[in-house]
Amino acid sequence: MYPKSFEYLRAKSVDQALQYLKDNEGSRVIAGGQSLLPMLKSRLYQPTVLVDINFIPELREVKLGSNGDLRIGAMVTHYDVIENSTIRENAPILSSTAENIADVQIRNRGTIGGSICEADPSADYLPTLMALDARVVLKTTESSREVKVEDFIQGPFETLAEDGEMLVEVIVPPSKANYRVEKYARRKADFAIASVAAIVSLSKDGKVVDARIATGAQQDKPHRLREIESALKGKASKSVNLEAIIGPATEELEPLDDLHGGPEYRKHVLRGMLSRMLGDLLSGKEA
Amino acid sequence: MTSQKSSTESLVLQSEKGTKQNVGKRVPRIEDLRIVKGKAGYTDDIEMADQHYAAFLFSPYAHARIKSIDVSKALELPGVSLVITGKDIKELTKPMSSRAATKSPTSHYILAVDKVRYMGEPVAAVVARSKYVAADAAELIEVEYEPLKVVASIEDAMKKDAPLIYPELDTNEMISDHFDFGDVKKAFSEADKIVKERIRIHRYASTPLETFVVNAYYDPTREELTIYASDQQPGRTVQSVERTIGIPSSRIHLIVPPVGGGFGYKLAIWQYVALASLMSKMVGKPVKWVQTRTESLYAFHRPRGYMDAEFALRKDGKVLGMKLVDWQADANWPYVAALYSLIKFANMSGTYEIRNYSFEYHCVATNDPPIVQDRGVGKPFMAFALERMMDFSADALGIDRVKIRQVNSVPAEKMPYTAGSGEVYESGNYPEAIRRALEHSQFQKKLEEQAKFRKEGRYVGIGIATGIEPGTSNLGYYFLSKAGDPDYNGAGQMATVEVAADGVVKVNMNGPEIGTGHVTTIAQVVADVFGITPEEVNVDAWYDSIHGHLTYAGTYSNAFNDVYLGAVLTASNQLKDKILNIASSLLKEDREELYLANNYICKLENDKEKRLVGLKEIARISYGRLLSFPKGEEPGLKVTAGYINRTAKPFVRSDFNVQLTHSNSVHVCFVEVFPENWNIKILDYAIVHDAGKVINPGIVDGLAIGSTVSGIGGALYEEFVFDEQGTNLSLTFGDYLKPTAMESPEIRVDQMESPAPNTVLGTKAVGEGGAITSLAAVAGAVEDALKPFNVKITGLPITPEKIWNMVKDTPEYKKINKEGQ
Repeated sequence: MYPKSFEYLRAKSVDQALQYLKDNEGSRVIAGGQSLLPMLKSRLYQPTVLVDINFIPELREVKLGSNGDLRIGAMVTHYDVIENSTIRENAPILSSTAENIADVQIRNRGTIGGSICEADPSADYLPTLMALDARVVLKTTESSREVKVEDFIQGPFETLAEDGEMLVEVIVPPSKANYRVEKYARRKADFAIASVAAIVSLSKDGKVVDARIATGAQQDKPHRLREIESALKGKASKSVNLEAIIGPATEELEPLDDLHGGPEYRKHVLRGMLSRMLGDLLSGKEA
Repeated sequence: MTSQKSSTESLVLQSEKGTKQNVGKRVPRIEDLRIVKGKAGYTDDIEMADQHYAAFLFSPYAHARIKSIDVSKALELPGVSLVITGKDIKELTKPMSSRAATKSPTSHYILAVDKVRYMGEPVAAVVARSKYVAADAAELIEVEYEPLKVVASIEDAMKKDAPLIYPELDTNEMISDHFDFGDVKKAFSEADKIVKERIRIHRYASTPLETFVVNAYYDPTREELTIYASDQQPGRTVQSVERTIGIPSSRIHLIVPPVGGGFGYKLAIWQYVALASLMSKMVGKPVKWVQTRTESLYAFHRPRGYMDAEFALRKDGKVLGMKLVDWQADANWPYVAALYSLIKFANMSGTYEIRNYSFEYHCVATNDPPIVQDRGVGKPFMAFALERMMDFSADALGIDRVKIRQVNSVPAEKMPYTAGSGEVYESGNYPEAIRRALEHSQFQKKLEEQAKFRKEGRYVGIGIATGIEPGTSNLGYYFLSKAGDPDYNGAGQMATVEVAADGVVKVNMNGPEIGTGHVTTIAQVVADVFGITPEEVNVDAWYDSIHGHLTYAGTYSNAFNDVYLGAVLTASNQLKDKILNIASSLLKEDREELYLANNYICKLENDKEKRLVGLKEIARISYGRLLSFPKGEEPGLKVTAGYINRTAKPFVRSDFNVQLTHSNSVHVCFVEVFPENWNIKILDYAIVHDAGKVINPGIVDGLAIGSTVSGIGGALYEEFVFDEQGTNLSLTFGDYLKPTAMESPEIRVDQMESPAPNTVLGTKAVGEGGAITSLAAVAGAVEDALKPFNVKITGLPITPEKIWNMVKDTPEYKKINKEGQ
């Protein structure tokens, strides 16, 4: 549990951080450190340079853009995602998601940007951000680009971020529609065995206007369940036969297989969750 | 027994002459403020001048021949002063030997020699100037392994052509034996029903927050080895270090600062104490090693195994006899091999009157990692097997699970009760404990709730289990296979009590303080002897081998309340006697009229307390003003006293006791299983715990709750999982699941007091009861909840996925999932 020797650079601004990343090949950003430090200590990961972005105030900001989009700095902690009133008002599902993350200590230090970049298949934020159609802002010393979270996550612990590129902001289109977000794990603080984030809007006459559903801990990366979404859209919520939709739509999933749950069990749990959560949403029950 | 009783009585009487205000009270733990402020001062907080650090290279293979080791790159690294391998160890040390097993391998050393036998076995060691350099150097050691066929199970180990873990023994079965008590044959021939089941136990372990920490310095100027270590059994460690590396025990000075959790795990540290000591002697520098979390999860655990149990039953539920055959994968650590089976004699027939039984055990070497005497050792599994068999027997006979326990309980009038093998249950009232548990748990109300929930389609169940919680080790089980009076025994300890020169009462129990409230408990007991408050007693929480101690000094086997308190009280009373004698001479007062209260020597005058002289003044005279010191007394106010619980029997195969006190408990667990994911939630948990006389009810509650949560961990969450190559797949706390506060139910403890006649204050064992009784209570509750699915739980941990696999093909499952999920 002693990391290999590395150089530590503390950035005071985004520009300085990007410059450090550019100047040091093999460097890596340290955000909250909640996944990175254990990896360093177990020597699973041995970067030569660490660029610390904990001391850059602008990365801790939460703003509302002129078009109504939420702009959340990469270094906003899980605790802040829960407590921040702008986030709670405009994307309550995101605050609810953060409540499920790990334990108090991790929520105090861990950050939304760090969690996204970690790209753990069982991570809590990813299904929610996918359901919200969120985007991330990636910067280098020369450029800036926006990528959908869904595209940014490439596979287990793999993202689109390139050398010298840093995630600086998460852009979340506001969503005040009815939602459910849950993770199932044996212990409260564990990574999910199955997780679901679902946003469903019903029209006054009970038709499904919008349905965005994503799941995590199932495949090598979290993903949207579009087959279910399209089966629901436009239907009268009372006439939906969920079991008939969920069964086939999850048939092709190839869930993870580890000590915490085999693929068949994970699929079983996911189906149960979807059936109950979507059932609640279709009946219009508020969270 | 008679002489023991009278000396016990006199000790109790003497202590009761004091103010008697503190024993029995919920005194808040004195040591806690330091702990929560991070100022407890653990072994890792100590650094010596010119401190050097050790790191080990551990085997990634479970079974492999070591073809070659190249240490040259490691030695070239700046800051590295030593690298040793098995080659050096073979030259410089003696192999470890078996204690209970009659066979002893000759190839098992403190560092692997020529081959590795488990994943995580230390293969080479480094000493360097910093812990980072040491870790880097360990990584640079190049080992060429030739993987050998892995023995991954007891079944594999017993196959004819199985690879041998210790080839020199010609077998993987280190030891086996068979015992018969009563008339088993007759019992089975008279039975109305015979119930038979194979019950399994998995691999799990306690994981103290503080891992192994050792800091050793061999001082060449004094030719003395000074060691700081987080060690639970320092008396034994000194003996083992002497035997292994050849430094005489008279030249070993071992100090144990407060220990950050013991649980038995810290009994196994001695191997690394020996290694650090040897390396310090080789480099002439103090050598410190702090085990990492991953390293601490490699070993030492409880063994996995199974028991074939067969019960001969009468129609009314009476158990006429039982046959038990115990298989344990516990021989890949010859030092304590067979222990997990032999200690089962301490609670083999549980709280029940079962006169006829046989016990056979097989101690088998596999490539599982080593074991240690983890909380309760083999007793949790013994209780699990016995209590599950009680449930299965009740079900087979169609009688109630509570009823069968009532029918078989040892009747109160038969106490003290001698079990078939000779184990003496000195105290307790088992039928009353069940009665109180039914009341305390609101059992009847729970049954009604369960019926209501079942109608609503909810799966709710109730489990009940009883258990014996033995304390104080006679260590006799080691010698069931060997003749003579063993060199070690846990039935005695020594302690030191003094009034220091400043008049303060100071105690050193001279055993490791492992966080279980010893400081406060001792302070309460000693305060009552000297008539002061617990806060005024200075309890030194360091073990230091320069103080008087016995060769098996240590905090283990639930023995504190017996032998350490016995030693502390003996020393306290001797010292009080001396103080009153001195005071009597000085004051020319009748000795019998004097007593101690509020730091003064007092006497009653007209029924009013008169303070004659301060304790401080007596201390000044006793240590300094020797011209005033009375003739006929020795100066100084320090007493080291030893104490033995004399109820330990010599070892005879047909009549022996392995432990000397027996607490007991009844657990009632109420659970719900959720059919969406088959997760289990404990809705209520009620315990009746009888630990005899209780000194501090708060501390005893805490230990009952803590040990129960560790049992819940074993029942529902914790398991070291290995693949077929013997690779440990659970080397982080993300994969080895400890229950956290979020998973722990509210546990309600009702304390019952049946004092032990053979301990100084009537106290008994406290720290292991929950770990012993809870496994079966939880399993019984889950099984009861799943009754509509007709499943049988014979192994642990009960995970949601396992439940799903058990239920998914049942008619009930199909009924509730008829929509075709």
